[in-house]
Amino acid sequence: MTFDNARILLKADAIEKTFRGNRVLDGISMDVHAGEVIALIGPSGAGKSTFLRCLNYLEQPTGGSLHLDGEPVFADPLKPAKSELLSLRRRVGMVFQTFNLFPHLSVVENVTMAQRLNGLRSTSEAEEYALKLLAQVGVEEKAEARPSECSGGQQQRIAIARALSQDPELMLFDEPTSALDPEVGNDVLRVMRDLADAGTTMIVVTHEMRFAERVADRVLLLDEGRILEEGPPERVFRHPEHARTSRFLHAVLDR
Amino acid sequence: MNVEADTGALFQVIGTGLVVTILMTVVSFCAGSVLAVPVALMRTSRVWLVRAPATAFIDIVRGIPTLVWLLIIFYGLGSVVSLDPLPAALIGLTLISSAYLAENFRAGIENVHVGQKEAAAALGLSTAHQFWRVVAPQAVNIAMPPSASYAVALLKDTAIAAIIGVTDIIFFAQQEVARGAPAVTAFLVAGAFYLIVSVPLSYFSRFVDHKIRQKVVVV
Ligand SMILES: Nc1ncnc2c1ncn2[C@@H]1O[C@H](COP(=O)(O)OP(=O)(O)OP(=O)(O)O)[C@@H](O)[C@H]1O
Ligand SMILES: [Mg+2]
Repeated sequence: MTFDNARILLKADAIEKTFRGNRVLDGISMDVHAGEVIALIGPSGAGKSTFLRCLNYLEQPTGGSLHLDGEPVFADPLKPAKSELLSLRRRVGMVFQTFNLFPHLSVVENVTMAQRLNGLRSTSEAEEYALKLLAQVGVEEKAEARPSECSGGQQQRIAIARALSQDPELMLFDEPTSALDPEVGNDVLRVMRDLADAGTTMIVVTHEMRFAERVADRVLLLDEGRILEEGPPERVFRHPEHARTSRFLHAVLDR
Repeated sequence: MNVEADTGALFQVIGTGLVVTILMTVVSFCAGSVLAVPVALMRTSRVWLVRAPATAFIDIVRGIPTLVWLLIIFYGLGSVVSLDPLPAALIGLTLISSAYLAENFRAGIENVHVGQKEAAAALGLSTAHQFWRVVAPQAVNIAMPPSASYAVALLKDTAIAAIIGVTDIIFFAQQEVARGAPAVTAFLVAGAFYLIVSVPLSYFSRFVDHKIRQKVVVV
């Protein structure tokens, strides 16, 4: 949980997103340091997923800019070039709430495909690396199976391995355990904690307050498209500045 | 009169049309599948100018009866270039099956979960790889069962080709009737030949459907 404070890996500057006149993100700025783990929390509809998706341009922001390692990601953030998009997405991995594994491929193919197609590794190297990643997330025995033959918890861990296969500098997680039973979810959270301990830079949208408290270096509370509260977990959770924060935390913890 | 011998003879004569019937079905289904790919791709384009001609093609081709298409092609195109009945029928049936199959493929493409494309995009795959490696294989799986059912419909549609003189099952049945064979018997025999092909085809399409349902559990 230590990180290099000097190096800002990702800088999001005044990110805005409007869906047909509906302003969902109201100029969010954030610095993510290399090795840092950020928990993004907030009520439903606050814009957490939208913000996360703006960071890899699955959603194109309607304003603001991104910098990776001090360099602007796009010459013109409103007109992303194809090569800029691909390069951003290869540097940033994403894990979805619903896993989204490719059902027509075997587990190991799910993890090797992008490595091969993106020219990252040769077929044999990709396979070797995939097996190593699958072992790391504890599903190596499922390598030859279809995703549909795996439990939800296994599928999400495979999805993590798939994202890691691109050697991303930053990992984005959008409620990775929300679709899972608590026991299975814990297997996924354990893998994520290992990643955090190994120094992976991560932004995690989550309702798992316990995980946020233990693993995150910083908690950001998003509300109505803005950062309402921000700080180390113990401060945000124990001494929030805003009444809305305490109300939200009570609502979540009472569930 | 020896009814049994006559029926046996009918089977023999009408059966000579079976090859042509199967040929028409297979060729127009395969060629139609190939042609359907670009049509389906255009049909799912976000650009109106690309989408509109594909939509028009599909609606026009499907909006006119097969019989009328075959007559238009045989007499229309036939007046420009010399065209035998069989090639005319193949052109018409290919056109028609491409329109139907394009709609199946389109539905297949659109029914692949959006999360699949997003996951592919998030991995930094190019747009072409997102489509050909992730969306298309799943779209084909989804489009397979309805397309197999369509093959049965197409088989039956080929019966119309006898009108322009294609020597298929119906052609020989009609010929035998003209020669004095009892019409009911002749057409029952013709029907039996269609069943010989369509029943295994239906069985196969159900088998494919079942297999795909087992395999593709999109979460
Ligand atoms: N593609 C879209 N088109 C239109 N509106 C959208 C779209 N995606 C999200 N929104 C709207 O943006 C707002 C924020 O949605 P978002 O999914 O980012 O919230 P969230 O904080 O992730 O919520 P949850 O905790 O429920 O996942 C919502 O009001 C939603 O309706
Ligand atoms: Mg969300």
